Amino acid sequence: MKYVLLLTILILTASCEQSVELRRYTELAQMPEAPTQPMANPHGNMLPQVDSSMQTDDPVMQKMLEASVAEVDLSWRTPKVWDEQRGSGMRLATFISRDADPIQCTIVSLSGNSGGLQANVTRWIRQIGVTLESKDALSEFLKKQQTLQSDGDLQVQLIDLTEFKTDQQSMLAAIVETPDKTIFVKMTGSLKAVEANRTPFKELCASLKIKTE
Amino acid sequence: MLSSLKKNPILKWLSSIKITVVCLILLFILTFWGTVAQVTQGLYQAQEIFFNSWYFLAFDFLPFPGAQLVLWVLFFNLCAVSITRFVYKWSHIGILIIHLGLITYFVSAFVTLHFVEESNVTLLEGETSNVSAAYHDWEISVWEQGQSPLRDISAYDVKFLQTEQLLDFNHLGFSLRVKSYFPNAQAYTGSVEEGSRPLNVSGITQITRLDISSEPEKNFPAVLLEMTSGKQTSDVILFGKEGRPTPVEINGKSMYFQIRRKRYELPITITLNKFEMEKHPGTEIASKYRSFIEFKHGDIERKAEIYMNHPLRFKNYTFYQASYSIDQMGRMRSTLAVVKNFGRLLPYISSLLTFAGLAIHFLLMAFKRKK
Repeated sequence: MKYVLLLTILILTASCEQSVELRRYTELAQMPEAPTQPMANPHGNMLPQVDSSMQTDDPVMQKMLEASVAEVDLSWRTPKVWDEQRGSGMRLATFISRDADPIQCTIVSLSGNSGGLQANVTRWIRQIGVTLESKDALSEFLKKQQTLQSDGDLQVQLIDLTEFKTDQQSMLAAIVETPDKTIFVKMTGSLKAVEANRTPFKELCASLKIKTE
Repeated sequence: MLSSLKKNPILKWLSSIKITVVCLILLFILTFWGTVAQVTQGLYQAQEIFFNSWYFLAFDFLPFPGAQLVLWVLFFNLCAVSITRFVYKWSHIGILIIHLGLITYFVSAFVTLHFVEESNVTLLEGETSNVSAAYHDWEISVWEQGQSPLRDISAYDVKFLQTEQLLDFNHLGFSLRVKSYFPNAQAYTGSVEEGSRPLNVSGITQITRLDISSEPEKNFPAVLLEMTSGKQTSDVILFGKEGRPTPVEINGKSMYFQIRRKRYELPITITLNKFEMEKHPGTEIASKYRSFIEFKHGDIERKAEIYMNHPLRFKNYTFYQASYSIDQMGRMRSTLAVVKNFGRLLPYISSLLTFAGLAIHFLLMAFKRKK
């Protein structure tokens, strides 16, 4: 009997409710927190300031996404050889070519300078599986890149990554910096497909215009 | 004294070899069952049910002892045996050391279960942090808006939160009463009656309970709080999926409220200087990746590399390269797993003792046989 009592006391003690106590600590002030459950898949769609497990059809989620997106009234002319899909949130539009080996091109608008030219070009180079030997190599690469003036008088910095002949995806990109936002136009696909769609890409970039009231 | 203890009926009963055999059989069943259950229930759930619990209901009706109960009984059994049966002579030194090693295993398991803190810290290149975030536990944290890069956080864990519970923030001039708390919830925006809109940064006006997922990382809690400060009373909704805190004006001060993954303060400030990743040729699969970090503790400033099988150890903390991610902006983030365990050397000590005991015992036996 005393053994059963001993065992019961043991179990009851273990099942006791825990009290809630105040904890205090100091934390370095950061920008809104990074996702705490990053996915190992490098192609996982992780959105800034947003947990990767969130569903995009969540109404609360949509509101949060929209809050982080720069509101910009941007217009463009869709190239005739591409089909356009209207975007949502930070992605303003997606274009797909009608080829058997298609490209995908997106227009994204984000607040602020979004990391700057060098940081963005560095990660794009990484994304296509290339590692530059040094910062000098990056500077040399950037010097060779062209700019164009769009119909809306926007300075468009073109980034041509097709010079890196890789087996992986290739890329043509463009960055438009305005005082309070940055617009990214990014075309990805096989090297052959990207080179074949160079002209429509430039046409799209040249047509960018910020609508004024 | 030992001889009188040997005659104690409770100790004699506890030292029964039958208890040892039954416990070992139960451990075998629990290990097999718990391993198989991970497939359907997930790692975390299976661990909680089979290994961390005192008992559970097998097939929803049959009480079955959990590993924690079995191990405690086995521990007391071993202690009782050491008092009633062991022969304390030099000729038995090997056996005694083996059993000391076994007791140390139990102590190590106890320390790991109750005192280990597992968390993670995710950093962009150039980012610095002095806290890590829990995997599954959440907290309600409050801080005052200020200019300092270091902010004072006051927080309550939500694990044992209950309705009507009072959370005292008197040092900040207010208190919170829990009106409703859901460990997993969905949130909605929408119109409400004038004057009854709760405060929330995302415009949430309603929260509803969802079933708790067996995968704990998919549970996002929500809480409706009543904030009281003097005559000022406001309802505040906090939802785990929000990336931003809710600002609340209290007595002329701007306070931030957030329900977020529980934070642990680290003994160091860690900065990710650079993150490198290599892929298998022709694929998008990472072959290796490493973090180049710099950490500070008081006057100590050091650089280190963290990669697979090469963690950073500092006092009772170990930092492992866990994973990485790339966001839609293409920014790479490195995730370091952080384990705080002051008993991390105990398993090694247990193994050494057990091995030493075995070696001594077999050497003594060999020596006796030769004689």
